[in-house]
Amino acid sequence: MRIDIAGWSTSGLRCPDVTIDLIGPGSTVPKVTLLQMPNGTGKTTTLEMLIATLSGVATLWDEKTVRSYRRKGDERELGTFVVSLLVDGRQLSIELVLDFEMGVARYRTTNPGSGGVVQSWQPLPAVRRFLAKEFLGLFIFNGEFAARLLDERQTAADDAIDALCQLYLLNEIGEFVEQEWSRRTKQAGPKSDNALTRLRTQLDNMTARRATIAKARVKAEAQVREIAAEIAELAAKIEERLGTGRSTREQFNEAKIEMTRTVGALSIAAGNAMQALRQPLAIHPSFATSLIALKDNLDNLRLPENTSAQFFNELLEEDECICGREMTPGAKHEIGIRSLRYLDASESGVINAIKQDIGDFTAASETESPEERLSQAMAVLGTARRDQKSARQTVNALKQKLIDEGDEELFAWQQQLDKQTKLHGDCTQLLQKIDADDEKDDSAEPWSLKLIDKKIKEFGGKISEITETVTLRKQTDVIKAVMARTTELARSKIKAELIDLCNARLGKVLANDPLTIGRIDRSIRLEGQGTGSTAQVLAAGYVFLMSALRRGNNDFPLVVDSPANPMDMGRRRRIGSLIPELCSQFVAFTINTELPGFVPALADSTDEIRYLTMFRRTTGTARLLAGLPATGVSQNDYSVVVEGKDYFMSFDVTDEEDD
Amino acid sequence: MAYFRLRTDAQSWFSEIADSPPFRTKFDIYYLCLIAGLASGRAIELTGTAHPASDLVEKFVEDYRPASRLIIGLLVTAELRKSGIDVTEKAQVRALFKRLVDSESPNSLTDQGMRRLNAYASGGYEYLAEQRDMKPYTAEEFIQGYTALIEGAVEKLAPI
Repeated sequence: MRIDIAGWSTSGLRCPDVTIDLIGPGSTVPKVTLLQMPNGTGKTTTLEMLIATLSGVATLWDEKTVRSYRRKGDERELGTFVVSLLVDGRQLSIELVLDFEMGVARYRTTNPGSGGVVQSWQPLPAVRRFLAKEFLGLFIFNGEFAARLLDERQTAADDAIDALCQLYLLNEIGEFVEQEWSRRTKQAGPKSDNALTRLRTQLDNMTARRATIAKARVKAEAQVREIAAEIAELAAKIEERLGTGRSTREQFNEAKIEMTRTVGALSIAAGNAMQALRQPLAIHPSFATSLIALKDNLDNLRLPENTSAQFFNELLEEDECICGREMTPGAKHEIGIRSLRYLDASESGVINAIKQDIGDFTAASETESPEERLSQAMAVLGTARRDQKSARQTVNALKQKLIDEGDEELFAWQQQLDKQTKLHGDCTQLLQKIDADDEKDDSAEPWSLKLIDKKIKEFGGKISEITETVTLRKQTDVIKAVMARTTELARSKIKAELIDLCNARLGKVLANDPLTIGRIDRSIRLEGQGTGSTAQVLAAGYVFLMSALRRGNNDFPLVVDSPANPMDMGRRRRIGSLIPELCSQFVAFTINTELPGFVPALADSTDEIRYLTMFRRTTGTARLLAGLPATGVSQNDYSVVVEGKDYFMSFDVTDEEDD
Repeated sequence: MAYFRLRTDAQSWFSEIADSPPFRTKFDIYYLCLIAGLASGRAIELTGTAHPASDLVEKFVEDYRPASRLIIGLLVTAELRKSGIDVTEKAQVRALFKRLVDSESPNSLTDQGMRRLNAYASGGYEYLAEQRDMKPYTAEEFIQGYTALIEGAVEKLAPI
């Protein structure tokens, strides 16, 4: 599917009333549209309205949020934002109306090809999945979003892959077969009504419970990541503050060094103690006593018959015995009989070895015995634990002293750190509970996903038996398992391909300061470095996003506010030249300061580029009206839009000029 | 093929300390449970669904290979004690060896031998969990107290 934005219009909102037509004089959407808007012209509001209008989320807004979009001093009761899309060339228009008096939002959808005008947010089902708020956020965003892809606390990169490559479709197949099975079970005869109803209720409850717990897991996992980052930041801030003072702080620093030393010593001591424990004879003398008794009472050593009988057989063929004497018939006869005394069952080999080891390990030695070694390691461990505890207490006491000395901000940080540490522990515990595989089956509301899945399967199995859909149930399970595994494999394969593609492109974009993506684990992880510079991160984010956009079999527009602002000239040029080949429609809200480098590179890479310049009509911008070109200008009481490269390139307003 | 198996509740009990040094593999946890089981003579079979467990490895891991035969020897002595067989009763001792030991097996144990070893690890976990007020939160503290727990287990064990 290809989605293009044909344009939008706005009235009565915080951003100036304006109509932006992205098709313009041609009949097709140009590859690149640059819309220059000085700061304060409503770029952020426009982005928010684009997402709100397309996603249908505004009906959930509270009155305050609705009214927050009203322009100051504007008496109009309604604000509207209309977005026109082209979906595979067919028009779709969605209108968001904000009623400032009532504090509510409502929608109107126009599908000229099918259904006409509907007084609600009703895009066709095939389009709807691409208009989810989370999905829209992948192609309508401000420049900072690209950087979020590399933020370890975010899951943006993983989400982008799932959404853009439509992996959710595999999940939908699983859901479809489940629904089909459920539908079939409902056709069961009256003979089983009571039991069946009860089982269905149990299955429905458990399925709902699973959804709740799975949601809680996602939330807890995100919280753990975010809180861990916050804890690290707070701890670093506290440490930095504590390290920049005099006297008490000097003592504190010394105490911290001592604590690091004791932590290291404790780790070594524990390692040595564990190593000594790996020798069982060290742990208790009774072990050696019992083993020696066992050894002393075992038969004399014998050879395992299965591996040793051949030795005697071959010896009987020799001319001489192993003692050097001639092998006479008498000697052969005797050896044949006596060899049986030395042969035994197959386990003899192990028994011999056990005897040997017991003998070796319990023999008196001039070096330390295992028991002595363990005893010494335990003594060192005890000392190391005491030292570490004492060092930690000193650090805590000095930290408290610093806080008591009046550093209120430090105190607040410490309180926040304690609070977040507790919250982190709670979330971790919740995750453990959800991931546990040993929860007892004694509650109607279990926490463990494994147990819930087991119960869902049990209820499903029983329903299958009653409704005689056992085979269908098995087939359903197989399809669901195949879909789950396919999703896993596809995600991992797509990730690997994307990493290769991105790294090849990054080699070009960041030729002078190369950066490589190592893996995608929720966010993009760079090879061999925690994070890059802001500009590097932004470049890597763009390259990833655009590669992912092209990887799915869909074309979406990329609408970006301030796409090149934090980049230096070289990167602007390289990103600018890549964009036209990476997406089907690129709409950028820019200001004049980010044009150098970026715009010429874009212009060199494609002929399909439109230049629009927009500003508010205020007394502050009245001077600009005299300099408007003769053609390509559309204006109303609130704004002016000018089409054309010359005006675009010469426009020198960075910030909106008020009255 | 018989595997070393550790109860899932034992894995949960050790979850705060099992995945970081000084422990190198899950077998360390298994071993500490096993020694407690052998010392206390407590063996709880992992049959049925009462004690879910998961497979660890098939062979003794590198760290325990030097002591593997001593561990098998301790299993034999524990089983002798449990069966009331005196170590001097050679025929019965040999019969027991035959049931527990298999030189062809990658871990030198028969399936029954492995089942019994896992039973002692299972019983050992229960012994450790009973002796402590709470699950271990630091490896250092647990290790330091471990030998005392084993000492207690041996003391409580009635002589044959």
